[in-house]
Amino acid sequence: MASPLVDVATGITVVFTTSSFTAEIRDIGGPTLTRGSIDTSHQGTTNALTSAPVDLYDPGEMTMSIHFNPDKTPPVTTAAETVTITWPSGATWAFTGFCTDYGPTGPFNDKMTADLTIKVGDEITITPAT
Amino acid sequence: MASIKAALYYHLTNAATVTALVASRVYPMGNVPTSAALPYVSFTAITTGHEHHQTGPSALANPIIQIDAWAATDLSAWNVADAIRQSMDSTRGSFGDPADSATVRGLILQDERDEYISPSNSSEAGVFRRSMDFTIWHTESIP
Repeated sequence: MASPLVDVATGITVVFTTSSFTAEIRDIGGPTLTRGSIDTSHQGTTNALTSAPVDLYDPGEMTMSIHFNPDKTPPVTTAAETVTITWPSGATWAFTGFCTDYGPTGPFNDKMTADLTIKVGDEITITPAT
Repeated sequence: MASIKAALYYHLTNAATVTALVASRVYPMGNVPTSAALPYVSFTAITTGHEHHQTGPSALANPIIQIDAWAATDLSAWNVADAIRQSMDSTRGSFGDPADSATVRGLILQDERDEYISPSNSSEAGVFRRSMDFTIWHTESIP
């Protein structure tokens, strides 16, 4: 079944193929895809500036907020690996990525969490839910 | 694994500094006998949060437990409350009956307040209550 038009963020999984890093994931952000533009305006342009897209998009980064487990080694020294996000509907986003930031937080009398940033290193392969 | 309610009841009825003041007069809210002698202790959960992650429960709960010390005098209520505070504030680890304990990750006294409950008629005496709110992070069984 195709993904619904709106869904709730429960059941998302992220698999790190090589490092096998696992964690209890709370929140996911990104990957944030961005594409630059080229100003194509010239002396003869009238009324509005004109722009054209560049050919390549930047796959950006994804962030994860997880429950911090101090026993686990974060994947900050491993090579780029295949990272697969499976969304609640079963749709997947797969890409090559590597961890660039990892930091725990321990607010007083509250649960410990950690934030993880994964740089997306190539094109994201999107597989719709079936 | 004991429930946090059972562990708390065991603790309050076995902490020497508390029982020295109230003996075994510790009651879950709603179970206080009408004949209960003062001072006594009652407790109830104000709210209970449960932690989850994307694929299920995290086996961690964080109720706020209100513990009330009831007494005939303001000083007596304070003394009971202080005995409770000193017996359990900042506990971490096994809590309650050693044979069937709960596991506490954090136990903090957040707040205290006083109340005087006026007698409903001239034949009764007023009652002093000192209330304490504890946050108790503890592990819990999950499906």
